[in-house]
Amino acid sequence: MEIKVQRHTDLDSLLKAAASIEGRIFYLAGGTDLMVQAHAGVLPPATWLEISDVPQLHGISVEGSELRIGAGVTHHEIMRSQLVQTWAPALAQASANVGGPQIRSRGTIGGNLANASPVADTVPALYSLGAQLHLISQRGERTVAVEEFALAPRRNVLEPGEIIYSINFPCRPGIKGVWNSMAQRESLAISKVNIGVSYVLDPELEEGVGFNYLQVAFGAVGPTVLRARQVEEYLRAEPLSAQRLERACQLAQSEVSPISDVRSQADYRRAMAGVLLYDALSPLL
Amino acid sequence: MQSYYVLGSSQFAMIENPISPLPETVCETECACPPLEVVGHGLYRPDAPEKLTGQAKYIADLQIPNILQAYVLRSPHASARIEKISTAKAQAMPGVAAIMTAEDLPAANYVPLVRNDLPLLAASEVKFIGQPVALVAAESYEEARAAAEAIEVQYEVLKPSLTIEEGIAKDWILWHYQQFTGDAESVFNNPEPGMHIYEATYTTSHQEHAYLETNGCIVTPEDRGGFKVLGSMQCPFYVQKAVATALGVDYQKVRVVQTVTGGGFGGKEDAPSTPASLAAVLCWRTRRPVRLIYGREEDMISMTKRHPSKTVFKSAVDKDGYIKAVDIHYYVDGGAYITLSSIVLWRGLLHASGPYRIPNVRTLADAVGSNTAPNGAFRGFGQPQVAFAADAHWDHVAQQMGIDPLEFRRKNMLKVGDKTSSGQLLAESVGFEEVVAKVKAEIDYDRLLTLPRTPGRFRRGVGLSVSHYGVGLGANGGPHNFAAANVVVAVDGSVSVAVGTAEIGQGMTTVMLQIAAETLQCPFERLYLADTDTSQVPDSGPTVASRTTLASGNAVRDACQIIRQRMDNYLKERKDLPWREAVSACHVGGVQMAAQGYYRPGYKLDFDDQTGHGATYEIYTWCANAADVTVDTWTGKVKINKFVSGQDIGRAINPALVEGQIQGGALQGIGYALMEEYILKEGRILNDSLSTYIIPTSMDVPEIVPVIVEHNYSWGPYGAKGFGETPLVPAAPAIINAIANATGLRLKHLPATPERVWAAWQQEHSQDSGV
Repeated sequence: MEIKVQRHTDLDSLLKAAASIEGRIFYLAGGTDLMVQAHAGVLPPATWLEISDVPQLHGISVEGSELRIGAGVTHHEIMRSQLVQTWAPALAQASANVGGPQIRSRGTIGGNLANASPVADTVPALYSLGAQLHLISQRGERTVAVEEFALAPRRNVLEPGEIIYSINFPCRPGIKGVWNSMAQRESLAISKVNIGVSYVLDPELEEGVGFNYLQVAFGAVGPTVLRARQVEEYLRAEPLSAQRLERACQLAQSEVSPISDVRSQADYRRAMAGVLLYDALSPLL
Repeated sequence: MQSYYVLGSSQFAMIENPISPLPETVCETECACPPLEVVGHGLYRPDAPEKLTGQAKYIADLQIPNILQAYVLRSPHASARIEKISTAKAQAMPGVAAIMTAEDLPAANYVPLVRNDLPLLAASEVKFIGQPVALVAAESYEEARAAAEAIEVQYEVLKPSLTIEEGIAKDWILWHYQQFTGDAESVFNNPEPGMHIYEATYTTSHQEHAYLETNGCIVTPEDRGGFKVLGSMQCPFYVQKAVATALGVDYQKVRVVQTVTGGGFGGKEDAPSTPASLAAVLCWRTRRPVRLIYGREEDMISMTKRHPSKTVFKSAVDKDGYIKAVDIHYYVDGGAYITLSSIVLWRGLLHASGPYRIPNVRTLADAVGSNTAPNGAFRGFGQPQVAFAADAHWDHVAQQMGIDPLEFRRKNMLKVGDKTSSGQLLAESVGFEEVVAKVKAEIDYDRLLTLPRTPGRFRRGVGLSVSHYGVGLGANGGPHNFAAANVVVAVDGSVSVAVGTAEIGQGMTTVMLQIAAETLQCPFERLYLADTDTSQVPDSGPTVASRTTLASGNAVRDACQIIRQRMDNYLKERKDLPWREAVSACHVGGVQMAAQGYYRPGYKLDFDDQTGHGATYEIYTWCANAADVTVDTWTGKVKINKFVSGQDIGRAINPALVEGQIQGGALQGIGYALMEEYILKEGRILNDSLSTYIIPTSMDVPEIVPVIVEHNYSWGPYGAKGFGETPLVPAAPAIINAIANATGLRLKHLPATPERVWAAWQQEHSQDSGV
């Protein structure tokens, strides 16, 4: 298949091109999803815009009280970033587990989001951090919560000519996090279920473990990544105990709605959602 | 006159030795061979630098001018009649040079194998998804593919038969073998007091070879109406025969050159004959070079895999723990055509009852047809499936009887002087007891077995499994049970060694050159292996059945011995001259410095179809594998803490390569045991890529400890047998038995994915799961 690719090295020219092109556009950053889909022959004819050298899409920085990650930042850069390890530990762990070294060196966080796969490894971590996505087009900028971004597998809210500009979330002092997954092998595996948990412990609590902040999300258990709100509310209500964690795991199992496919079965995925939550929080007991 | 022993049905007889004299280093039992100069050392691989630096040229790297790209139109149906094929629209597509259907073939429309039943191109019916229906050659791959997709085929879709059970119900039996020893029936009908009788059924899934390089070849027209085939393959002389058959020409008009081959594992034994023949007929039609390289997905859906299987295993063990009888029915899913299934089945039949002394055996073996791609050769060749059944079964029986599973095996294992289930007397080289003892010590069996069993989520256990492996093609080898080697010593002392077996990554090059260097007494660096090109090397039989070291190695040794003997006869007291001077003197003196060596099996082989008896293999390799595992009962994940694989291989020509083969084979067995599986729906493979068909990565490799035992084989080169397949054979049952030891779960289906282990645990312990 012959594909014509326009390469852009500046945000303005990119947005201008994106606004003027008729028909479909695919944005090529790392290519770790797009090239696979092209190989499978499932992509419609489109203009490809190569964006991996647009400087405005790069960089990890703290701006005010927010951590900003450019959409074009690779998983490798994220896992190595001190800022991410400090302010988004769940994301650092997720990025370190995407694919293998080659995929982490090419694949970007913006691409992981835009692909809108319910299995995407970094996305449950971003849900748990309450990330806001800054979207940009020639018409201007807008912000959407990460939970509002993916609509269904391979469908997102991006409008024609619009791209993800950056991923932002508040720097929460004392933030801790866990990312984990169940997969058939230790590397280069697409998850059967994955989890992102971010929390801030309540320092006022004299005995036991309580949460000032807690968000939990699961991947591969529904058409999009799923925020486990019942689990969160239950766990935030009272200090953590073995009994309450066990109950929370049961809640997680009832909150998810997985399917069976080539990677796993629905009943197994449902059960594993509980085990992943247990493994994420049981070290606090 | 040299003489050697032949195995008749039970007696030794002396016959004239057709091959080389007995090696001086032979020893009968546990070996303390004198160290040799070259053999027995872990010399480097001459092919390594080019492969490691990316300079090695695989088939897809070759640039040939004026080449056409081929694409195969494949059946989308598992079973259908072809009503009409219309190529008119496709013919008019840009870049198209030729379109061919079955009607356009120049000669035979089959791949020559056992029954010649696999067509090159489907003529009137298709029997599996992915079966070739039409061919296109065009100026570019994209044009060829576009044209293929424009070919209109009208099918009348039929209901496919997809499982072993459906095949049995329809009586679609591709092949049958049987073995009757003693009287198993009366043992089961009139059991002795205290006899333990147990029956269970075991099933296994497909396994994909997952060679790094897919099947592919290039065919070019040559002078005087000849054809040259370049490609990735294990058996260049099989390809030569297939292409000559497809074109209706003499074998010698087809020159086959094996390119650097990125893995085979059996998947490039018979399989490359298809793409080579398809490219060849397009080359014949267009008189231009044609390139046909399968994409990963089409390779996965249409090429051979390990046969899925079902084994019904019934046993009788007396009260003292001695096996008295087995009644086994072994079924393999052969796919839509016989291809090699009969031979796979034969090896399965002969190893089904395991490496045990069993007086009464009844084994029935059937290859059942199904509307899926033909299954074929894969490391272990019909043995891993039945070894899983047998050795998971014996482990369970031992546990039921309260006998230590290892002790149970010791009581029953074959020794020198015993007979196999086919009545073959084991005359020599049975290092089984030593292998088991060493593996037991290395895995720390006694300690692990007596670890306190703690309740809770993580359970640790140890498991063991044993197997034998008949080396080489055995009595079923037909015309292929030989090897030849040509050795030529040039005036400057450099040496060309030519064999017709292939380097497929297993290390044949190094092993052949080590044997040659040792025998000629010449420096290793002066030896060169000839390119595997049918116009330059003799046929040495196929590169299969763990036979290359034994077969080609013996032929090389024979040729080198002839030359060295001539040199010594001429040089007399000067025979200690440095190599270069010795060679120069011999050439000046008119000594013939080239020779052909030959190998035939060291023992006479035979097989009786009715009884399943005979001296079936010339020699056996003995293997024990052990696994130390921890099972996460909440997730069903099995972690291998340590894996030990021990082999009596006769002699390690290159111990470093042996260790590599053991580790690779064990890992492929670990994948088979725990994760590798094709998921089919109505005959369609749903996971046709390496991102969904999961094999172990380097991150999944546990500590794998190789154990080498050397009970020399009299007729092996320097005592060597073959073993490349053996480590895989009892890998899965060792792991399954360890899971049983850890959790009490007796899994009867491979692979034991986390889902299956978890489901089995849930079923047994629905009350006490942690979460």
